[in-house]
Amino acid sequence: MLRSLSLGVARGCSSAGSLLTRAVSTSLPVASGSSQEAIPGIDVEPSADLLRKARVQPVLLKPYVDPVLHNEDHFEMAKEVSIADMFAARVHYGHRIGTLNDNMKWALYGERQGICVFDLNVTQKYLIKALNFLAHVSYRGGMVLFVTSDKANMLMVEKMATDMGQYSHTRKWQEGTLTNTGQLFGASVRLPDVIVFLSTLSSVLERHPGVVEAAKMTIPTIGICDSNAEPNYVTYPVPGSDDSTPTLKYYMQLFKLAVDKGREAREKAGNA
Amino acid sequence: MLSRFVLRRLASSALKPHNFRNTSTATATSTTSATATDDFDFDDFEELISDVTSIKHDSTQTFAKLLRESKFVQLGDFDGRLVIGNIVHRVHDDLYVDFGMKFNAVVKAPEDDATKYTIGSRVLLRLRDPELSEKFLGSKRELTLLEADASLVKLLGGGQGPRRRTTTPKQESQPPAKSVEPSES
Repeated sequence: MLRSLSLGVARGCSSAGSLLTRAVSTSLPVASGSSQEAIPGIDVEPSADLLRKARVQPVLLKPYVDPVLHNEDHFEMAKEVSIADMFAARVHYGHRIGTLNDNMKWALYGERQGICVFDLNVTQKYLIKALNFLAHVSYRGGMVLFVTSDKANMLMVEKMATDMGQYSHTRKWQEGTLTNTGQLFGASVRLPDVIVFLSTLSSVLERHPGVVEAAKMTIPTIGICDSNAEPNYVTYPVPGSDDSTPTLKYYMQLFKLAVDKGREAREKAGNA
Repeated sequence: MLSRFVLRRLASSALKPHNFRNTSTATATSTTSATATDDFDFDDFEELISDVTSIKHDSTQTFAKLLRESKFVQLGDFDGRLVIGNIVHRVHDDLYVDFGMKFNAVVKAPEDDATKYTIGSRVLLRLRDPELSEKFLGSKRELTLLEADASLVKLLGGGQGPRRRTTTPKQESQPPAKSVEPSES
């Protein structure tokens, strides 16, 4: 498990960068006057007056934000996620109606012969959001940790995570993996920038302790939430099946695509 | 439509071909004499090929339609239905069979012919329950076993072979590796 988390720079000094200015080496004068609009491409800090107004109207800061973040679907994940593919990958199968968690009712299309069926239109919407976020994290050079307690598929997840140059944790989750790194690993450890839960439940069908630990450490999480899962502490819940091997393979392929897209965009921006 | 296309392809070698778009339902032999002057346009050939091959892959179907026409809905009540699955894992005599639903069914390989039940073999199962879950006294929700309940009927195909290869694309295009026997009640 020590191999899964890399030793390095502590999280506080991570190179994720601030959202407002992008890699500014030469400092430009602060724009004076609240009426002045920032021209995209020129790194200008917003004035104090504008910042005060932006407290109630955050959209005023949009010209100062990196153009990459302007479009919600910047990495065009809507093309990659199709209802037909999700259906073939059995994403719409839920558990029995008797095991339904009340907090997952919003994602269901209904139940058929006692088996919950997910509404793939809802799943598609949330999956696109999650994939875009993952691509953005990869674009900024972030570390992704894939977590699952599914013993049948853990080797596949480990392999695919290594293939995309990221990390995985599929063994028993030790309490304090994220919150007590000093005691568990000795030195200060770089924590992941996003954690992807292939299933938000542990092997005893309770909420995975990693979800709460990530929330405590303010690490955003992407979680595949089945019909018996609790989506409460997950930042980007994706309602769908988390049990069949073809389903998990489908998710991992999409996550790999998102991470690769982000990395390619990063390399392209670095070269340009 | 496919049979008419094949007939005309065979006829075109002997008789002069004509424009496919203008034909009615008549056979090739009767219409070639009437419109013998039309030239065969190879651009239409590509269109016709794409028409024929793209019938099954409709990516614009809504989720509601996909669900309504799926085998999952067609099966109805799962108890007693015959389904076909592939063996995905084997631990001594326990076979883990994937029949196209959420969970795998775990069945025992019979003592005779136990070696024939290899990973990748197709088996026929009688499905009882696609997910074993029960409510225990005192608990608010049911507890699920994360597996399906089925009984083994017989072995169908081998692990590798041309017969399996023709059915694999069909299994992957729709969720089921399932088929319903006509004699089923």
